[in-house]
Amino acid sequence: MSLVHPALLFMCLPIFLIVFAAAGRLWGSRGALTVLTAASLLFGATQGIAFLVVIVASALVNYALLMVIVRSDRPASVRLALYTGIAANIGLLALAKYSVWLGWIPVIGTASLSLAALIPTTLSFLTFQRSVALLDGFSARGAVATDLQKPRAGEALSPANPPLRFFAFASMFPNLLIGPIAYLVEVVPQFARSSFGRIRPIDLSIGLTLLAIGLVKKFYFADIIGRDWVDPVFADVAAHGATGGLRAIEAMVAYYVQLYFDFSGYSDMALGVARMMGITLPINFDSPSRATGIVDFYRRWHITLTRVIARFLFSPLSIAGTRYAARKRWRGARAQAVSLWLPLIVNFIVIGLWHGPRLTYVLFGTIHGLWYILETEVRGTKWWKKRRKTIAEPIRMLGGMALTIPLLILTFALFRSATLADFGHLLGSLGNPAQPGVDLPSTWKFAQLGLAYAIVMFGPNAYEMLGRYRPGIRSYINVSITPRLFAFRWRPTLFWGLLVCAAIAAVIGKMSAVTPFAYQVF
Amino acid sequence: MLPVLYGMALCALLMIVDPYDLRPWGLSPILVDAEYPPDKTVNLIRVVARQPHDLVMFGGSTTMPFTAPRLNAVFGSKSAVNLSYMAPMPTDTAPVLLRLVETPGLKRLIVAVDFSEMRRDGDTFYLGGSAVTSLRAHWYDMPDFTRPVARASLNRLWGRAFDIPGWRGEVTALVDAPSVTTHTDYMALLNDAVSHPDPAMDAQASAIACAAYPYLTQVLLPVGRAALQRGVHIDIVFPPIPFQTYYNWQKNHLEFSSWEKGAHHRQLVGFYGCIVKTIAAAHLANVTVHATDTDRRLTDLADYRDTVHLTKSATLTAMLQDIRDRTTVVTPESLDAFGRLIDEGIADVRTWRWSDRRSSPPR
Repeated sequence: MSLVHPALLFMCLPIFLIVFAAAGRLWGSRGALTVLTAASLLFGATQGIAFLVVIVASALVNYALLMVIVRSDRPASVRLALYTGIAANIGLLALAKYSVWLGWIPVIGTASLSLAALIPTTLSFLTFQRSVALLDGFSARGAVATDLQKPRAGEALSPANPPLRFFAFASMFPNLLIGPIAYLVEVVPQFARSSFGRIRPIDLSIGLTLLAIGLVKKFYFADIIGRDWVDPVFADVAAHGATGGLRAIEAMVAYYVQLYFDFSGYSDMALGVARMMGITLPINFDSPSRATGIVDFYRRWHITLTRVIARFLFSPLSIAGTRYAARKRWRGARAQAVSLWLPLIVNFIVIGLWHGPRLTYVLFGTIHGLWYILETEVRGTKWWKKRRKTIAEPIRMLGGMALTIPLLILTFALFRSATLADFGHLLGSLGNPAQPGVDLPSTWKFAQLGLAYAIVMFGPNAYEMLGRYRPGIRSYINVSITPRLFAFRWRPTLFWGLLVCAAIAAVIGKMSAVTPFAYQVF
Repeated sequence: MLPVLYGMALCALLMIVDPYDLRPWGLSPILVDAEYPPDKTVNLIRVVARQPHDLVMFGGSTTMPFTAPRLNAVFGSKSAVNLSYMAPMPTDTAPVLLRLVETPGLKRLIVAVDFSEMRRDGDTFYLGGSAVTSLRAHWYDMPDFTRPVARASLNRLWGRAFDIPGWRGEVTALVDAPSVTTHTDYMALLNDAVSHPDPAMDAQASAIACAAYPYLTQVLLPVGRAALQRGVHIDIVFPPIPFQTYYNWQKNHLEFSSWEKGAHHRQLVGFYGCIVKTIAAAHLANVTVHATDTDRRLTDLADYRDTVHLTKSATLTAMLQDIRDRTTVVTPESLDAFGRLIDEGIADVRTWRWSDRRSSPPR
């Protein structure tokens, strides 16, 4: 079950919200948290009993280790607990996800294959969220201990607070499967707010609006673009090693927006459902499709993964590299290589590998890493700094987009390809002649793809629209590049209410066939 | 909030009625002779497999026009049901038939096999995909979450059958539809294909080993054995096709199958031969193969609504009678004769021209 299942949206969610609010009113925040945790476990159970067992066991282990981290007075114990937790989490993820690469190892391979067969659902997001919680506990011990324990105004201190809050955070159903990956320090303090456990009309309005936006993105854009433009072409290439030239271009161009609509649609829905309970999650997408460079792109695309990897992998590596270079008294390119380039390459390869054990992901990460280094270096040159002042900002932005978007389209086609050979065949097909009647879909389909591009290029994203109501936690402050003409602002008015109603009504007709989200397999 | 309330009402209704039998609860579905559009049919397999039916028909679009009353009338069955949908392929046919074989009280299972079952890449047509999804659905999956299904479910809630006006029309429209001879576009296509045949029509087909067909190992053998255990007789039927159509297949792109180089009809006959030989080798005494495509009465173009689909009521009945009377049974011994009959039929229409037929009186 995922957030687009009618049974969840129209049956389980309303029932849950009623029980959640009732429990909040009767038993305060602990009542609401208990209901949230129970609902999340039921949601997890729909992914299979094995999945439920694993997420519960993992949560228990992580909670125990987090308590050691925040409560122990011995630094050695704290470090041991942290390393054990990270190793356990990454080990579990590796076993479940990388069986293709681990299969040859005698015992581990068998365990890995069994686990992968038992748990087809991704553990990537929840594993990262839990690992980051341990790191949060390590880097801000006092704050985390307080967040877990602090009673809500008017409530007494209770030993039940830390486990309840941690389990609610670690297994919260809106972002359990496909993120966004939230920090413990972002979410847990919200459980102690006086409004937690109450359903406020404004939260419901914002949540429903985000939900409607996500549903429209999924059913009206991602699914249709995938079905009409992308999937048949990639299947064709996989089966026959070639396709028509025009079809190949169309599929590459279409996939770029399909993936955005699919993944950002889920993120919008996750934020929306959480917001209905009064919980604000971090924003995951900020109009990435019109990024003006690769650096800008990663401040806008899958933000919660980027920031986790940047914080816990890139930064330590970069600091270590900088120290090493200083110790060796290296300067110039050598120092830059160990303090920036190498950490960046590792950072991006890990981002690529995080998606799964495929060489296409490794190459995708490597290309983006090299691109990131190149862009960073160019932006750091005196030449660029001087030129920058002489070029008007709109021209600079348009130029940046013109350079960035085609390269992103190309690398995302690599990301979509099952193998490097498939990607090679796709590129090889670009020169093939068009197949009449096959290569040119109907005008209506073209209009649909055109509309999708118009939305990602000119439309405001959900968080800009709802900006004044703080729909999500911002990790990076990005400049809005939405043309003023289209910078619509949502308000809790009748007009917007009717628009949201119309969107939900339109989507209802499409919900009988639920296609999995692209990121459900990562 | 109105759409949300509407969605909730829809959800509640479907959860109570459970028209596709996806949940442990729900009302026992009442079907109307299983005359449903194919997108509903694929979701009714679970329902049918839990209700008593003495005869079940399954196949592709060529067998979709056979209604339950027609099947009952010809075979003397009491509760026949036809669950054919467009382009079933081995990947979906296997779970569907394995489920249907378990139908309580089942005596006869008629399975039409055509070129879509030659598929070797594990793919499914979208309806087949829906059938598999439906068979594997959990209680919370809702392929029934549509307005027409909700309307039909409301009927069921009031004690009537799961049905709405229009559904049956989709099946009955397939019977006695205007002949293909009245469609100038189809006829021009066929005329061109026959008068200027693709050179590959006379070429030998690429040799494909029987083991390469997933239909044999994933469908025929497991289903045949399961049926044998349950005492169910299976009639495998090669549906009839006008001989002109083979020329069209060869000349114009034909989807849904896995074709190799060479004559398509020879590949099809080779595949059919594999079925016959596999049944004999596995000693499946409960399986009979009917090559209705060798009955010349069934291959007259005028009886078809397009280049593939039989539509004339009398001919539809004649095809069922062929199966009942075992007049077109093919065995390993008669395989060569079967191949020759197809070759002769194809050769016989080589001189056919549309202009010749236009002057003939309409049937």
